[in-house]
Amino acid sequence: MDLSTVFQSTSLIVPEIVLMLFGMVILILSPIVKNQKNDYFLYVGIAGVVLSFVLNLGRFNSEAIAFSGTLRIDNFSAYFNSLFLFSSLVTVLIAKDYLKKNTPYINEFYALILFCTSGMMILASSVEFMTLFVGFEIMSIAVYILSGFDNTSTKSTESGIKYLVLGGFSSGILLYGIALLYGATGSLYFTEIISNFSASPMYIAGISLVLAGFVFKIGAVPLHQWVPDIYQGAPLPVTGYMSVAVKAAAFAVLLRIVLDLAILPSGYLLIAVQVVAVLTMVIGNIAAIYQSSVKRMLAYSSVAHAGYILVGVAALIADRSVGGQGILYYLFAYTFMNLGAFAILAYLSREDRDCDTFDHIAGIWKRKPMTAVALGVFMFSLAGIPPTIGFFSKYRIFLSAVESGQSFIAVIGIVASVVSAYYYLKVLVYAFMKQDEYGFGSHKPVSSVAITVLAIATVFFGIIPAFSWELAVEASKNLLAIVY
Amino acid sequence: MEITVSHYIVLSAILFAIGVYGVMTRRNILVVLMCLELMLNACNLAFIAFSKLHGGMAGHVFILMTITVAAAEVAVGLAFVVAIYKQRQSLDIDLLKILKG
Repeated sequence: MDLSTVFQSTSLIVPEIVLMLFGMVILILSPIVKNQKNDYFLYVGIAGVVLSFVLNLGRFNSEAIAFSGTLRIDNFSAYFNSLFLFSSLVTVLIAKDYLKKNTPYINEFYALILFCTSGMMILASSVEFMTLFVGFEIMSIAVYILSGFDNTSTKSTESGIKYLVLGGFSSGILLYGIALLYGATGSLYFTEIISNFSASPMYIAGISLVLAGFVFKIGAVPLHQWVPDIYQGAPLPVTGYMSVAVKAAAFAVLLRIVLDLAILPSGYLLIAVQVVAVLTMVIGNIAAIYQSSVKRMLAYSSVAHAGYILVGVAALIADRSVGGQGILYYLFAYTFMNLGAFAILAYLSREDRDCDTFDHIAGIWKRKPMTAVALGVFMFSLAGIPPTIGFFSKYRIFLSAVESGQSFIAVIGIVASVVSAYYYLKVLVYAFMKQDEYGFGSHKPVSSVAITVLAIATVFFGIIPAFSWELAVEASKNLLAIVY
Repeated sequence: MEITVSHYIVLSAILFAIGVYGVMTRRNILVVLMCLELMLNACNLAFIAFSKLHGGMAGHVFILMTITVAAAEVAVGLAFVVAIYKQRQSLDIDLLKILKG
């Protein structure tokens, strides 16, 4: 490998490098700049994300392999990278209003979001386990810090240490799985692992441990118990970011691994995914009904949504020609609606307390009618009621299950999402029909712009899904077309 | 008796199991962090052994990555330990139950 190959590979990952450089600039300059009142570093962070987003657009409709085949840059990774960059942009905007007075370390927050996003982008492009692990840990360690970011709050630090211990545990399991796969096949590349496939116990144990590591990260049953605790304790913008971007990153890798490595015994794999999907939908939705905290309710709802996406994964395993588009589109839809829901909670939070229980959102309709309408849009979308993006994406997921001959799982999914309407509409009952008792936070101009954009996108793509659906179809084609 | 690669694999499996057991049962956060390290180091041992078996360098390089990651993870973990000790004057995991439904 000569120098020009290195330069050529490096030029292919410029969007990631831009994010890291901007993050480092923030980290290095923020202690030097005296006047902390100004938001210089917010602009640096936004500039980094936007620049990276624009550069990433150039990756659509191109295919390239970088760093001796460890990174694969194609429509699939470009699609996911756009999701990560969009959600980090929204998170930075929400956090600007939310964290302003709570914490003195706001500049480090922007830097961590940038680092975390660059880790996700590496993760979505990686086709080799060493790169995958490094990307996974860049993402994870940054998220551990972010979830324990407010070190004055006992809840936040508790959430941080719990996430660190459980996340470290899951990455230990993932790593041991990688070690076993390496032992069974003698390679870390997906291509070579699959060509040296043998149904040895070591291979099967390895792939099972790797999958377990990712089941943890997407928060599917039986490894979901961490989700509500950590979502409740973390600062609200971080919770939104975790529930959207970290989950999408884990699904991106899971798709590559499920499609490439877990070919045998695929009968068992299909049954395992079906069982996990059904349990995740049922347990997530039932547990969400009994929550008194809106944050915990949304946490369990995000468990349930992981279950809906797993229905798509089951369809994909059963029949490769369906399923992929649905999953990709669902993650796209979920980015808008779930970030929107958490953005509204952050918007309604006051300096002295988060918007947490149902009483805290009572009576928004009287005080802030536009926010109440936006909340309605997001809740309808999460529940899958037309004409929102949530309906179209759920329709596609369940349609793919039916097309792959698994109608029963689609029926369970539809029943589960009918049940979920109960707790989403309960939020709206409080928002529109109850009297307000506690009062809300002051007006946050930047967040309200972000919420407006998200709400309009949720409705717009629900009515006219064609463009975004095409993107998902193209990206999934790219995923399936890879012949190893 | 000659020590072969499979002995190292068994040793790494035992170390990994001890680490898992420790994370699940220990009540002190510091000891839990040590058990996490033990899990990651068991993986390192497995990588080295398999690298010897297959004769490649990939396993060796992977270990450098793992060591870096483990160091970063523990640095963050210890920062949390300090923050938690300041708040509660205790490192008992059973006290971490403010967040529940």
